Amino acid sequence: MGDIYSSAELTLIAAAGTNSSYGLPGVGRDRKHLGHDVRVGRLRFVTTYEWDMDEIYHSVWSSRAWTFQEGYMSRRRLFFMEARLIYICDNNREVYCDAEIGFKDRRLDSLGHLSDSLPFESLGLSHAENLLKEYTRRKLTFDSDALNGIVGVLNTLSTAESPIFHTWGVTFGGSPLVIALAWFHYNPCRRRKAFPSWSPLGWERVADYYYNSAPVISPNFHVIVWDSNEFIQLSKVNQNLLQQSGAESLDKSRYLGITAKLGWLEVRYFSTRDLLSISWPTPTGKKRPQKVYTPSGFYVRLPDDDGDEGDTVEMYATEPPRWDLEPDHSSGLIRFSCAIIPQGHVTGRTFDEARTMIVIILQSHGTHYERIGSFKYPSMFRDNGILSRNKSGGLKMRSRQSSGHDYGDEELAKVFNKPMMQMFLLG
Amino acid sequence: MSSETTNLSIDDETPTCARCSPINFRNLRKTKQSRSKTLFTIHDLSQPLKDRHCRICQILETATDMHRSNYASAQVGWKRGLRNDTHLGTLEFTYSNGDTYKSLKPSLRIHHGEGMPRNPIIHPPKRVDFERAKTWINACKESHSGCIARSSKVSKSLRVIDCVTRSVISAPENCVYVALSYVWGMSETCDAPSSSALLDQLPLTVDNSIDATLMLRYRYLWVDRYVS
Repeated sequence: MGDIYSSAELTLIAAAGTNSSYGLPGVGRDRKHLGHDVRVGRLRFVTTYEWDMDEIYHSVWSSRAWTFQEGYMSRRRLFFMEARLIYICDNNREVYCDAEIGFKDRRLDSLGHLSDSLPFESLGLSHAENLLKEYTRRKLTFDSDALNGIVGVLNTLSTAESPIFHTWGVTFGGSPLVIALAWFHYNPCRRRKAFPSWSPLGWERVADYYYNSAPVISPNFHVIVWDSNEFIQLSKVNQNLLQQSGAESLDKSRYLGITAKLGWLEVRYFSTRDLLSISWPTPTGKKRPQKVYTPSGFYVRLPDDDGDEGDTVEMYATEPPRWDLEPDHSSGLIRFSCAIIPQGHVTGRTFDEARTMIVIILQSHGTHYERIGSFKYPSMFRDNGILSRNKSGGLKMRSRQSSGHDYGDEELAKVFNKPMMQMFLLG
Repeated sequence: MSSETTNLSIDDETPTCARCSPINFRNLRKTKQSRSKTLFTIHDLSQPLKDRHCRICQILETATDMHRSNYASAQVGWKRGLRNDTHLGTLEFTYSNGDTYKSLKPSLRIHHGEGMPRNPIIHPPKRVDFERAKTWINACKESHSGCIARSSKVSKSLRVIDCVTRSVISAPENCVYVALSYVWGMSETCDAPSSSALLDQLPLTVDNSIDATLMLRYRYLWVDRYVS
């Protein structure tokens, strides 16, 4: 279907109205919404649009998953808006609009959100992440279309000079080799069971990516993927892998074979009522923890601290992980396995492996795991203090002890309970 | 620049309501920040004018008209214009439906009545000017090598609407065609119409697209559902 748009001479885009009976403003009828130019006393009031493209981004046309591919694959696009006509081709220099004179330079001044729906000269992994983010923002009627609606776009990335491939919508490429597994959901959402949990397409909501970082294939992190009849190293892949969406458990391409540090952590649910009753330390000294927003949810337990004071029995990070799927509400501690995946800066030549990592929280499905949440470590544990819980369940915020928290291997071993390098299947 | 000592917003004779009359656009010129400053909120966009006689309310209503049916309220912000220009500043609108906020155009630019503004004011015409659109497309075809078709992988069985005869045909060889991208709407999942009923009862968007294709001097149009 994408080919029909990329081979067309021009694509007319009906970006006004909410359905197909709305028509193209200014074609069969006059535009309803015209510019106004009114004099009142000595003042003149003029409606203007300037070069704003967010009107396209906020349109119903932009809210659907299928139109993403149609707009992206087209070469020349004529947008019919309520009051304007906008022309955007694949050239990065010129955007035209009938409410302005001349053209706008697309390189110097971005098109805002709209640039995540259009091809761009300098394609890269972060551009690919933005495409996935934009696509998952959109509404899809049928779960089974989740990959079909973007696969044409992703396939164009594999023909670029430095090719980016994908498996189930998860892009990888570059040197050092990076795989875009470092995404998260702002809120828990519904799982699309026909797709793997490690792909943003396996979930129904917008997936965003942890800032400026992605997992780098390294001695501490390997990935093997299924290529027609065997598992091969990700670095050996030189084409897009074929996926058979729908053929659930039989399809081995649904699984990534990951080698990484595997540990476990415990979480506990705190309700809004629990969190409202937090006692904050009296403001003395400079290092007092600031009052921070603490939403209800499951919080990660921290290792016991020798500098324990009074009746504290358990300690928690002050920021909950990003859950894809919220665990069932139950009282008490719940234990989950977790994979600790080193991160690197996408553009950097080297990376400091020990300093930042993505922790993926896993739920066991017998033969394999599925992801249910993630967080960035140690940034989630930094600065904000510690939530401590006493025997009777009361919560108290206290400052972090500075000693013994250098976030090195020792700390990592404590927080994630002696994680070990291990190979596991993520489905 | 004329003297700005007057304390009147507009002038003595212009009717303004209690909300709008304190707004002094000339004094707002003197605001320091280049960021938008919130002036007031229109709390219920579904309600008609606050004051039927207020000229400013009337202008605000027309400026927000396009978004009234989709949003509950709008914040009206002020952004100062450049100095030494007839452009005093711009009223900007942020629309809201409870928890989400969207800054949407159009904005309202406010000028001194006298003198020519530095940037010319253009109003799009009531009807789409297809000749102008054609100049954009032609400029692109002449100078953008990157906008050439990636490769014609389209199958031989491609069917298109012949906009001259308004009938569905098999695409001729090397067919130059226009594609339509649109949303069906509420009945997104309904069946495709039978091909005989095809071109009599087209949704307005498809019907208008046939006209637009012809106005742009093309002949063939590809529309999902109608040609497959």
